[in-house]
Amino acid sequence: MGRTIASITQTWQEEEAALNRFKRALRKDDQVLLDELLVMSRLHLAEASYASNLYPLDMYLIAILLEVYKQLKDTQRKLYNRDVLKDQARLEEEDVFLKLITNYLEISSERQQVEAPPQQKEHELQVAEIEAACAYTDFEEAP
Amino acid sequence: MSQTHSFTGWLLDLYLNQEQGLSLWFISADDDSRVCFGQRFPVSFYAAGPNETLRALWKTVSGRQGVLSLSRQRKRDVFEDQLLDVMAIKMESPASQIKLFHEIEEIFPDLTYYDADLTISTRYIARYGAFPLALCQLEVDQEGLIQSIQVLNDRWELLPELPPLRVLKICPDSDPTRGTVQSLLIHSDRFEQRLSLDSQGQYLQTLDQILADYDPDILVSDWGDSWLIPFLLKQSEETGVPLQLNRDTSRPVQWQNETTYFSYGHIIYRPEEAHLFGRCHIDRKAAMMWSDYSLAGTLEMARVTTLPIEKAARVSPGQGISAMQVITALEKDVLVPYQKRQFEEFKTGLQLIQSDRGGMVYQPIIGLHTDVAQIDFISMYPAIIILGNISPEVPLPNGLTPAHEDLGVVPLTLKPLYEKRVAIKQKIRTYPEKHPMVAHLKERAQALKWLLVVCFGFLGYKNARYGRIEAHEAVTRGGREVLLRAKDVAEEEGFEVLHMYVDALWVKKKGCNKPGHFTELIKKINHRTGLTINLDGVYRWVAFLPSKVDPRIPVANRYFGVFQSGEIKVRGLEARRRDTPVWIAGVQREMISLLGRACTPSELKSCLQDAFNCFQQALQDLKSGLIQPEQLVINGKVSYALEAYKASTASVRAARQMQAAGMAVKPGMRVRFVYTRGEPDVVAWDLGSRLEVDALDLDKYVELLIRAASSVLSPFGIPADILREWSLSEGLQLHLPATSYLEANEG
Repeated sequence: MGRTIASITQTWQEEEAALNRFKRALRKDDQVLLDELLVMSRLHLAEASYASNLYPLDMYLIAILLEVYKQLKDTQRKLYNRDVLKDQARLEEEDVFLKLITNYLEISSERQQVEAPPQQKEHELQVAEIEAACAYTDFEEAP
Repeated sequence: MSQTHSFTGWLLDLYLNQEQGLSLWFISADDDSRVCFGQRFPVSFYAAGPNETLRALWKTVSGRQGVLSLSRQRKRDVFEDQLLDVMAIKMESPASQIKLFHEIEEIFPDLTYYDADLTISTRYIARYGAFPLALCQLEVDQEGLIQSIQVLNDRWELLPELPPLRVLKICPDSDPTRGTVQSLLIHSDRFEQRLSLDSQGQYLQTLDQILADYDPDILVSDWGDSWLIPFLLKQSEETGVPLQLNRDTSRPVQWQNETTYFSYGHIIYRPEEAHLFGRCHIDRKAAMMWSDYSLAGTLEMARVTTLPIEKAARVSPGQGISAMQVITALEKDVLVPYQKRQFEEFKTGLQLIQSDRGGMVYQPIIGLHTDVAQIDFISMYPAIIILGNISPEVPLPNGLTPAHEDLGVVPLTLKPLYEKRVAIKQKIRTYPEKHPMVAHLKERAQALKWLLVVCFGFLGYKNARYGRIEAHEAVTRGGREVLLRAKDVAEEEGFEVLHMYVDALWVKKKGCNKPGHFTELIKKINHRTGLTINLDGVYRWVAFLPSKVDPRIPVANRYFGVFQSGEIKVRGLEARRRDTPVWIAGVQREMISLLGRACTPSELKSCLQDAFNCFQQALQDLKSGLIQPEQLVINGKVSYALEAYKASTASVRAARQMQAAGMAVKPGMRVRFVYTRGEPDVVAWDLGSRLEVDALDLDKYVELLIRAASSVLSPFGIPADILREWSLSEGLQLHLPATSYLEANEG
C-alpha cells in the first residue's frame, strides 16, 4: 500500500515543501503562524487519506479550516462562559445586597415595634422612607 | 504379494531418498523407538502450451530415465474459466522429477508448467494427509517400504495427541562472536552436563555418546548454524574423533546457503543453515520467531503449514502460508502454476489514488487519558478475507458482501486457521491464569496469528502464487469500512473516540470504567460490522505521545498505559526497539512499571516521584561507571553493501571496522557497537576487544537515557529539557513540576 502512489504523509510533505519559497518570503512572525496552520492540517491525515482526493491540498486546507473553526468555537464558548459567569456573579452580588437590605429592614422594623407598637400601615411607610434616605445618603457621600 | 506389518507412530522427518523415493522417520506409539521407512513416491507435473511445442516435448522426454508415463489430461487452472489441455509427465520419484523439469524448462521456456516446483512435504500431505507430527497407521513390507499410510488425526485438532519428544539443548557458555568459548552446556529433561572444550577432542567423544544414548529428536542450539555445528565438525575432522549428528548415519549434515532478502520494508540476512536427517536442528539465534512462540509455536507452525520442523523454525510465516495455499489448491485438484502470470489490471490515476490505500491510521489525542477502553477486531484482515470471500480467482466483494458463494483458495486456506486460533484462545480462557497449558496454548496461538497476519500481506506480494493486488486492496478497503462503522457506533453511543489504529479503537465515556460498561457497545459493533470485536482491556490510564521532532504532532503508534489488571502496554517507545541498549530499555520499563502502580489519578503523583527517582538513580549509576559496556551495546543494522553508503552512520562505521578485521558483513546483518570517547567514536562489539567503562562516551549514553526517560515522563509535564538540566546539575535535587493534569485531578 502506498507503494504505487505516494502515501498521505508523503503528499503532505510535498505540499509543505511546495510552500517553502512562500514561507521564506514571509515575515518571521507570519512564518511561525504558517507553521502552526500546517500542524493543524497534519491532525487529519487519516481523514484526508480516506477521502482519496485527487488534490490532497484541498483536504489539508479544509483540515486547517476545521481546526481554526474549532478554536473559534472554543474561544466563543469560553467568552460566553465568562459572560455567563460575570452575569451570575452580578446576580449573586445583587442577591446578597437585597438580602442585606431585607435583613436590615427586618431588624429596623423589629426595633421600631419594640419602641412604639403603633398601626401597621404607618410602619411600612416609615421603612420605605428610611430605605430611601439610606440610599440617598450613601450616594451623596460617595467620592 | 510380500507380507506386511502394521506400525503406528508420529511422523518426524521426511526427505528425498535417491533409491526408494522418500525416507520417513517415525516415533513409535508402541515402544518409543525411532524408526525409518522408505516409500516409493511417484509424482506428476504438467505442461501446457501450443500443440506443436507439447509434441516436441513429448518426443524429448519419452523414454527418458525416471519417466513412468506421458498422457494428455484436462485440468483446472485456478485463474482460467475453462479446463486446460495439459501434458502430464509422471515420474518415478521426486528427485528425478526435479532433474527432468530443470532440463526441459531450459529447452522449452515458453511452455507453462504446473506442479513443477512443489516441495515433497507439500506433495505428501496433499496425497496422504500426513504432516509433521501426524499420528499415522502404516502397513510396511519386509524391505521396510511403506505400502499404505493412514493418518489418524488432522492439522486442525485443538489438543492433538503429541509424541514424547526428546529435546537436547547444546549451548556455548558465551557468545562465540565475542570471545573464546570454554565449554558447552548440554541440557535435556533427563540430565544437564557441562563439556569443557579440550584440544584432544575428549568432549566430542562424550557428546557423541550422549547423542547415541539419548538419541534426541530435536537438537536446540545457540549459534548452531553460524558457529557450533561448523566448529564441532571441524574439530571432529582435525582430532579424528567421530561425531554423528544425524540420526540417518548414511548422510552428512546438509548445508543451506546464506541469503539476504527484502521483507516488509526491512533487509533481512539469514546465515547458512545446518539441516540434519532423522532429527531436527533448531538454532534459536537463527529461528526467526523463536522469541515470539518458542518450541510449542514452532511445532504448531510445522503442523498446520506442513513445512518440515527445521524449516518451520527458520523461515518467515510467509513461506508457511504459501505452502498451505498450494495444499488447498492440490486438494481441490487445481493446478499450481510454476510462475505467476497474472498482471495488475489497468487503473486510472483516480482509481489508483482511491484503491492504493492501507488501513485507517488516526492521529490520537495527545496526552494522558484515564478509564479508556481498547477494543480490537479479532484477526480483522483474515476475517474480512473469509467474510468477503476475497481470493485472486473469484470476483471481488462489493464492500463486505461476497460476490461469489464458493470460497476461493485464500479464504479456504484461512478459514480453518482462523477458527483454530479462535478456538485456542477460547480454550485458554478455560484454564486458570498460571496453568502451564496457558503458556503452551498462547505460544501456539501466537504462531497461528503470524500466519494469519502474513496471509493478507501475501495477497499483495507480486511473486506470491495466489497474490493479486486488487484482492489485497479489497481487504484494506473492507478494513477501513469496518473501522468507520465501529467509530459511528461508538459515537452514537456517546463515546469519545481517542484513537483508531487499523483494527483497534480507544474509546472513553464519563462513568464507564468497568469491562461491563462496554459490553453493549461491543455487541452493537459486532452487529453493525459482521466481524467480532473484543475488549482488549480498560486502561487505568494511557498516554499518547507526540512526535519527537514536533511535540504538537501526534504519532499513531507511540503510547503506553496500564490496564486495570496491572498489565502494562508499551508501543513505539525505546524499550520496544531492538537498537536500544539493554540497560536503557530496562530503565524505561522500570519507570513505566513504577507509574503503573498507580490505581487512581491521585496516586499518580507519588508514583511519578518514584519514576523520577528511578531515572535519577540510573543517571547516577551511569555517571559513576557502574554500568558495564555489555549492557550498553547498541544493536544496529546495515541494510546495504558498505560501499553503497554515502553517509557514515555509527552502524556503518562499526561494520567497516568488522570488515577491516576480515569479518564478513552482509546487507541485513545486525552490527553491534558501543559509543567510545575520542577516535574512533564507535567500536564494533563483535571485534572482541576488551573495553573498560572509562573508554565509553558516557555523554552519548546520558542523552539516550534522557530521551528514553522523557518519553515516559513528558505526558506528566516533565520534558526532556528538565531532565537534561537535572543531568547537568550534578545531583542537585530539583522539584518536580506540578503538572496541570495532576492538579486538575486532585481538584
